[in-house]
Parts: sequence; C-alpha cells; structure tokens
Amino acid sequence: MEQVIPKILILSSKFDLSCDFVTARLSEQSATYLRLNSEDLTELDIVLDPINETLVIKNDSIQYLIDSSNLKSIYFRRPVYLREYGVPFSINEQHSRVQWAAFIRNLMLFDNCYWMNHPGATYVAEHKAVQLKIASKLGFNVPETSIQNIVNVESKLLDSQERVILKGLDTVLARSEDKEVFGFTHLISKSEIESSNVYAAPVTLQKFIENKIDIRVTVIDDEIFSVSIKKNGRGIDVDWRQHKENIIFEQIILPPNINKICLELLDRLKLRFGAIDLALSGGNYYFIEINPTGEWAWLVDSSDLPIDKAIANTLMGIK
Amino acid sequence: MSRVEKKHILLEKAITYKVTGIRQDPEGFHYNLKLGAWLDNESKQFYSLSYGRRPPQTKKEDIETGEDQKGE
Repeated sequence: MEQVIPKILILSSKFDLSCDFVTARLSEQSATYLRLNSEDLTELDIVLDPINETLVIKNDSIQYLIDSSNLKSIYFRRPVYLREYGVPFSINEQHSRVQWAAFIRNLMLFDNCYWMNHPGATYVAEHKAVQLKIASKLGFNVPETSIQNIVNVESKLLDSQERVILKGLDTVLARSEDKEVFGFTHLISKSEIESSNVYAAPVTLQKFIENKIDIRVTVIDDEIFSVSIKKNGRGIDVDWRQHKENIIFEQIILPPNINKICLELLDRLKLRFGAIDLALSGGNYYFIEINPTGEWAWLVDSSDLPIDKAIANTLMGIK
Repeated sequence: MSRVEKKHILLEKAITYKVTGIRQDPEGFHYNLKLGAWLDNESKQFYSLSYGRRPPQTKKEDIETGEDQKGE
C-alpha cells in the first residue's frame, strides 16, 4: 500500500469546485496534499489520535499519515456551524452529519500549522455586527446601520431617510420539500418598512448609498486582489448579484490607505482569507461586509486574477 | 393575533425556486480522490484548466443551482 505524508490538508466538499482550482495548482507544483471531502468520510478508514496529534486515513490503495510535525497548513472550506433549514434528514443522517461536523472541527487540535482560515476566527468574523464595528473603528466609512425587529418606532435612521437598504442579518435561506427561498438585498421605502412585520426575525436596515460602484477585495494573507463591478460601464444600484448579464469585473488598484485598512481588518479578525465588499460613492469607500468563506474562483475566470495561485503558494509556504 | 403571524418582509421579498436536493456531478467530469480534483473524462485535464467547462459562479448564483456551501 502506498504511503503519503501530506503537508497540506484541505477540508472541503467534493462539490466545492473552487477547491479544484487550488488542487490543480498544488499538483502543478508537486505539493503533497490531501483533500478530505465531507462526502467521502464514511468511505474512508479514519483514526485520529489527539494525544499524539496524528490522523491516519486509508482507502483501498493509499494510507495518508498526517502528524503535527509534518503538517504545514490546513485549508478549511467547511461551514463553522450547521444551518439546517427544513431538509428532512433521517435519525441516522442527523447523527452522522453532527458527529462528522464535530470531527472536522476537532482537527483544530493541529494548532501548530497555518490555517486558512481557522474555524474559530471564521465563526467570529461571520457576524455582520462584529464586522461593522471593527471596520468602523479601523477607519472605514460604514453606512449607518440598525438591526431591529421593530419598525414603527422613532428611529434615527428611518427618520432621516425616505428609502433604506433592507437585508437579513444572516443569509436569507429557507427550504420546504422541493422549493427553496433566497433573499437578496433590497431597497425599500420608509412607508413600506414601517407597515411591515419583522417581529419574527430581526432585519438589518442600512443607509442607501447612492451612485455607488461595488468593489470586491479578495485578500490572501497580505496579497490583495481588487475588482470593480459594473454593468454597461456604470455601477449597479442595490444588489449586483441579481444581474446575470453584461457584468464586468475589472481589476483595479485601491488607494494605499484602503488597502492598509483591508489588511488591518483581516489581522484584527485573525483571518488569512477574506472577501471584502466595498462601495465607492462620491470618492468615499464604504465598508459593506467581509465574507470569511467568500467565493473567488469566478474572479480567476472573469478577471484573470491569480487567486488560486496565491492560495496554493500560501498553503505551501511560498512567498 | 400573534405578533409573528404575518409573513416576514424578508420572506415576502425572497425569490423561490425548485430544488431537487441531489447534487449533480459536473457533467463530463469524474472525481479523482488521489488528486482531490474533478478531471475531464476524455482529456483527464483538471476541471479548473479544462476548456469549455461551466464557469465557477458567485455564491448567490450558486444557490439557485444548489451549490451553496453555507447550508451544509
């Protein structure tokens, strides 16, 4: 049986096609790695020894031996918490999912290697209120924001605006049998929000930034890749993701002070990877949010940004 | 009447689409466990380097094809 001692461990899903970009780069460089997919776990023989810090994984032909003295880095692409939304799992499936998810999180015992990102850091950084507070303290312009489950009261934000941005505090996603609902970001009139019902779940209300150009900043360690997002040469009002056609992602260089704050934000959140959404309006850059697990592979294709290479090199310790 | 009986505004405004619940393999590719990658059935090229493959999507677009990772 072939024995492999991986220096890089990728915790992923088989259907996470962004990871394929990274494994292709790692393979090009003859790196020794193992991509461990959640779908494959039950098909493999797996033994984790937390005291001696070893993980042995076997399939029919290969034995992978991971130990803390050889492991250089972990690329963590799994969710940090389970979002269950109406999918009818059997008792066996629920049990298996919960226990394997815990197993993956327990790999945090490998604490001497480089994590992109560490699940603990991702957990904290996924929270929008935390992001906004830190971004503001670091010097970013941040749109006036209120998170609330009541709308027909005196509100500084609503009193001063005729229209506001409405979005969920987390991904708006729910499923029932064969259908799923998903919520984008909306621009809504003051009267509509004031006549609506939000008692059942808090909403995020934000000052509308007019005439904006969206900017996606992808940070890998200390490397920054930025694009502007336009349609027909112009910025897009509200949520650009609702537009499927004629979207151009154009490489841009941000001002040094904005790059600096982006790096400081990742540092403060203890992230090695972050996908930051900014909005440029009236010469000012506004922080919208940071996605610690944001997608990026579409930018490799659409904008020729070598993000896959940067991630692979970072995991290999090449600078 | 309970405070939460009326439909929430975020659900009122959400889009609805059908889902199968079954993830499909990328068409024309097979998964290679050792390489940790999908390879083209004919050229054996990596998915990311393969000509003519479906381009990767933004997360929001992926949701409509059931590929979003956050719901795991």
